[in-house]
Amino acid sequence: MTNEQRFSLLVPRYLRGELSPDETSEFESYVSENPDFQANIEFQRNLMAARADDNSPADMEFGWAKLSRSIDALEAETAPLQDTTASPQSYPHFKNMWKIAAALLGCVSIGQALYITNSETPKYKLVSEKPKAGITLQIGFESGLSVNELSRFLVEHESQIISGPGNLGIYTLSFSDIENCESAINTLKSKEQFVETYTSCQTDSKT
Amino acid sequence: MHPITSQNRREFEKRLIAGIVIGDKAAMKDVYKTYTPALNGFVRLYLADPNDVADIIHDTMLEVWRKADRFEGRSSLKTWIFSIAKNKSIDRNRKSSRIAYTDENTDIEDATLNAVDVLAISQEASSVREAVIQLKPEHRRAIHLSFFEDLTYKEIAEIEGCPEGTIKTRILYAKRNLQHILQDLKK
Repeated sequence: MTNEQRFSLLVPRYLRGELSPDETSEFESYVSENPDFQANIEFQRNLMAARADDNSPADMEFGWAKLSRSIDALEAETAPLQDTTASPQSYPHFKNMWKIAAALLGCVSIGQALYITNSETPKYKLVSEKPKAGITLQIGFESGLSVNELSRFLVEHESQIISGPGNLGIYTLSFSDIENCESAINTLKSKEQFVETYTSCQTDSKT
Repeated sequence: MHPITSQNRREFEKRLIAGIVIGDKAAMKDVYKTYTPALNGFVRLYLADPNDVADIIHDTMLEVWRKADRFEGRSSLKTWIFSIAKNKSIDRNRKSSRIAYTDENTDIEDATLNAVDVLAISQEASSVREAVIQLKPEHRRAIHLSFFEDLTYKEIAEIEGCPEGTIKTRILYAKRNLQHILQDLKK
């Protein structure tokens, strides 16, 4: 690129006053040494002055009225996706709120997954879960036994029903240890009106 | 009167875009009134039919409304709007099979320029505009964006989707061709 081409490209910026002091100094130095180049600057100044403004106020008003109607129609189309109490023009806000809600939901899900994954012991018991000690006792309760009496019996001896009633009305109870099981048998002996029959404490060798 | 100065242009644009993003139609109207005159001249570089030009301006502004939240401010708002308009204009031309493919070769005439004549006639704005119309489309756009819209070479390159160096070359040759056309008009 020749010097003339290089400085010619700088003319618009020079005419807009956008050159740095150093660039301006270099530019004006070149101009002073090249009188013909001044004609180039004048030519470009004339070009910039030839800008045409073809938009009459009437055109602008008509154009805006049409655009305004299109915007209203566009917003009306998207309105059903929004809160019906919100202004139709708040559409961009809602997009952001949905993004935030989605992000929060994602964080909660990830946190929950990590909590479950990292837990050494589950915080719940399965219905099919067998007691650790594997000590069981089979009991046939009297039909008149109330739910409250049965609950009190289970709590008192740290017991739970793991199956039943079978065809003969027999329940199988499990105990955390043999002492609780034997204590339960003693209770049954003292309250024979509650039970028809019961076995001795049994240890399940599989567990 | 142009409400934007070079000093506060970015702040002005930020305020307008923020307004549009929250659904402020008054901000959209400001954008429309500020940029439509320039956009009109720009789209006419691509399309001859005034109805097509009006449609493209309308569609461009509607897209500004719809996608304002995607404007990242890496380019000026004017550059962004012109880019949208350019793509829509090209699409319109494709659909109506009126696109004119041109290469980058420039037909610089070797005839000697009479600087005095060229300068004299360039003082007539109507002659300059008439001469600009006779330039090749890519030269016409380069001259228009640089001298009529005061855009930088970088901004023009963003709109045109080509390297800045290409824009510099186009402007150099376009200006030379323009001088020849003006000289012919003087005759």
